[in-house]
Amino acid sequence: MKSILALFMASLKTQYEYRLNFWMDMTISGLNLFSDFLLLFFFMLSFEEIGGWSFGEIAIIYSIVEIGWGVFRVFGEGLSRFEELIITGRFDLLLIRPMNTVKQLLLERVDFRRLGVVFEASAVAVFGFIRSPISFGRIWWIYLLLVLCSTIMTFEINIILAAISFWTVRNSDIVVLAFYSTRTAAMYPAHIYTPMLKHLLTFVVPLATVGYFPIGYLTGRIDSFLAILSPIMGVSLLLPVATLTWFSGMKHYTSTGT
Amino acid sequence: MISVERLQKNYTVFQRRGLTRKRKIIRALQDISFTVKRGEFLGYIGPNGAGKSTTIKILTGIMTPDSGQVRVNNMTPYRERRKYVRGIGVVFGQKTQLWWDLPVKDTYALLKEIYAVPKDTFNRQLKTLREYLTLDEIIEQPVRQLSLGQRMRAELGAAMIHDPDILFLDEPTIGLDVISKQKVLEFLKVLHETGKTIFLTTHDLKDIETLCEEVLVINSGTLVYKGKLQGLRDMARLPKTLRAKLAENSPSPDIAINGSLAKYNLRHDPASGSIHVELEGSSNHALVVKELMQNLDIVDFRITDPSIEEIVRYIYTNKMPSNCG
Repeated sequence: MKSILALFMASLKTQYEYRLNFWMDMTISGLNLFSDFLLLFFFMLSFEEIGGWSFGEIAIIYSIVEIGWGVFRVFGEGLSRFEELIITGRFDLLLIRPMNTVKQLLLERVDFRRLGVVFEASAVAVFGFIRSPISFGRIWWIYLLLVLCSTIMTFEINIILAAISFWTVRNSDIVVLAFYSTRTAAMYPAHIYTPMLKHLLTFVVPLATVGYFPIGYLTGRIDSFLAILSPIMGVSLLLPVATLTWFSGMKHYTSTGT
Repeated sequence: MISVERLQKNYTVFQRRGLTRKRKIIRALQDISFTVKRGEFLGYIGPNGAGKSTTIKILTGIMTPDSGQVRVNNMTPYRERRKYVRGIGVVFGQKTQLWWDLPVKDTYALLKEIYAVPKDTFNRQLKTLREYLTLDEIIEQPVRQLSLGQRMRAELGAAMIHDPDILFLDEPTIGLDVISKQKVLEFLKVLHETGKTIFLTTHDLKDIETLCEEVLVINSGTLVYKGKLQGLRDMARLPKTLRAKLAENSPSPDIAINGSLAKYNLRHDPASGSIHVELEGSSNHALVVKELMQNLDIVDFRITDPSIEEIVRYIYTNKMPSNCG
């Protein structure tokens, strides 16, 4: 536990080493956030509904997926840039330490500026609950659970995608295709897509299970009880897949150079 | 302490030719076996691409071999990685394990937590390291500001902060100037004297000459020699060389070289004004010198043993039958 804290602090100190850059980044991230807000605001005013779902409900799905993404951005920089570690052979250095490699990666570049995404998405959630018939007071714990599932699932998916680098070395295109696009797709009600894409979002990159299905159940649009269980199922089925992929990848790792 | 049996590792590479690519298997290690005793200082030498790094990566648990047995400290490195690496220190000459933007002491403090080193042990170890590696002048500086020599001292400190019994070093002297190199080698000598087991790969054979009792020579994935350094010399049985300097303005030595001294196969180098003779083991060296003195105007001479470079090159090029059974 102490080692985790130590790595976390080192990560912060590293960023603060370049003070000017640190403050500039903070300012720019803040401004960026503000402009995103403005955009979102005008967007919301002009739309009424998509595929029979009101905009408030869509905002709730959006917030669930986006908060998970935001938390991932804070800790996931090492995973996002994992191909660099493979290309340079620097992954070696993680392997000579008596600590889980994923843990080391998550703590390598903790980036608090990314928390902005979480704030932004939380504001969208507030808007969503105001504009939709779902009462936050009654389902707040389910909502938080869904956010938790979304966060865990984002990490799981990205661990799997990063592990692909063990075989292919470069993985950035695969990440864009398999995660960035599906994440965006999962922010909207899945039934508006072709069956193939819907199945993809349900069974392969199951981001629809943390937003669309449970919220659909809560609003009475989806009848099956499976819909409310799907986030737990999705997260727990992905866990062994992620673990297995990562560890067999490590076994396959052939470092580079001297 | 370290035992390696029948180690094999292949890499698959793809060679591109236009749009097609061809699969090629590179046999990085073929049937490598050796043992290292506790407290031994072993030099692992070979040309670039011979398989030195592959071996060290398997020994440190970074890579899994295709087949074969590895036991270090009664553990299999790549199977029990996290437990195993607590007992070893690793230095890569080409990769830094220090936190680039933080002062050296911060890296040490981090490693203390990662390895869960008790406070007393840590302080004692840090004090010793500061002394032997003269770290005082650099310990407060961010790593990115250090010179290569300073950084390598800090790396050695980082590898030893948890006081491991075995130290693996992959080309630790690469790119260092003479003085920095000397400091690194002296520190390794001190470690060896305190009973640490040291496994050092290098292509600079001078490192080995002063330190290692035992050497392994690897070439294209197979061991070509293992044993004492002296044995390597004996095995190649290369002749000693006599180099004699001629006096300036002396008459051309060619007549003598092709005449009365022809049996010695002298080589004359007009540019440096010197003569080279290869002395066979059986010849009477004093007699050769005497005859040279009588026939030529010599101001200086010296007899040198073959350098390890020459010996190893000889082994590489002549594909000598290995003595590694």
